[in-house]
Amino acid sequence: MTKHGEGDSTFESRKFTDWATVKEALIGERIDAVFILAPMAMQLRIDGVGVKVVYLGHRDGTAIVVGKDSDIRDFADLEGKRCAIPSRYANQNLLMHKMMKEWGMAPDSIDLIELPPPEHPTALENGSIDAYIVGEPFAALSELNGTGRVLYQTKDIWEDFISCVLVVREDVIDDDREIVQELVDGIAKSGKWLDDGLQNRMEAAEIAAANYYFQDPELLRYVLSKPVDRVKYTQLAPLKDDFDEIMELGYEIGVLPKRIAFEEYVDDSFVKPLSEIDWNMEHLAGADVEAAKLAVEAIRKEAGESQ
Amino acid sequence: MKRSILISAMLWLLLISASHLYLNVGWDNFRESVHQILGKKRDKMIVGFLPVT
Repeated sequence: MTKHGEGDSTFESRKFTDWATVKEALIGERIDAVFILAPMAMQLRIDGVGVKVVYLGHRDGTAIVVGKDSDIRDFADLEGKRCAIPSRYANQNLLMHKMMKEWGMAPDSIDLIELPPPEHPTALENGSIDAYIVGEPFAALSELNGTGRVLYQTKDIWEDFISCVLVVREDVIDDDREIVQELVDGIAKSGKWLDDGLQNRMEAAEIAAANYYFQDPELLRYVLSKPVDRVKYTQLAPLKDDFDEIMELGYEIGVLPKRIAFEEYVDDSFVKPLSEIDWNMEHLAGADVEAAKLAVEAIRKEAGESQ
Repeated sequence: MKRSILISAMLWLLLISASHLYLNVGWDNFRESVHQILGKKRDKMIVGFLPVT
């Protein structure tokens, strides 16, 4: 649970493991908002669920990874190979099809397999796949383990790549705009803080490792710094051109059953210039960094003791 | 005798209602609903995430 902001608002994060449960939770009003894949948000709206995309989670932060000693040197070398994708609704799936089209390859020339992201590095290592495309930190994991090599960072093949978007229930938007605005402002400000400097990114790695993902802080530090623009946390406004492109690609490859207008599933009225956001950055930036470091130490100690 | 039956029935009703609220509605949802009925500003948001990218 994360309590922040100048007011008394509380934002509680809740982890889900599958798409169907997220949909049920939104329909059953057990959650107010969720970070999900962009094509999933479109599908939700097509299915008649009253939600809108209000902001992005990040840009870039995805890579195509191949084995360290693999002879795959460019995208054409992936022809006939097995490549893992996180979900058919993932923008990563759309990117693979976009690339196949751009490289003049048939849509079925790469064997795309749906696999949960945490399993991608292991599958690559044991040879059951030849490559994978996934969001961080699972791309960096193979690099750090010395088993994988990044073939492409998405920032180099689809500029300002969108993966996760923030979706909010429409009734919450209608009834409680203030708290939605507070959430969006918080994401915007913390994103700016992250992109402001390496030191901030290192602090964020400690906080996230201890409080949210229980990942190795070293892995998160690597993701946030090698290179520093591997994942971007600014320019998070949902833009029509970006979403139209995703919608078109999704429809073209049959992931989405029909096209819907941008205005039907996006509400960009919460996007404000950073200078206009009245939000106490110090509250977040300094938030529990020391406590997070202590928590990381405790986790390490516990892990050490249990071995 | 009648009084003890009445008290027992009320306690039972209270227990069943509390269990229903806890198991089927959830304290948070109940609290939010009461807030909405009273016209108070929402002070909590539950934000899910699906770590599949």
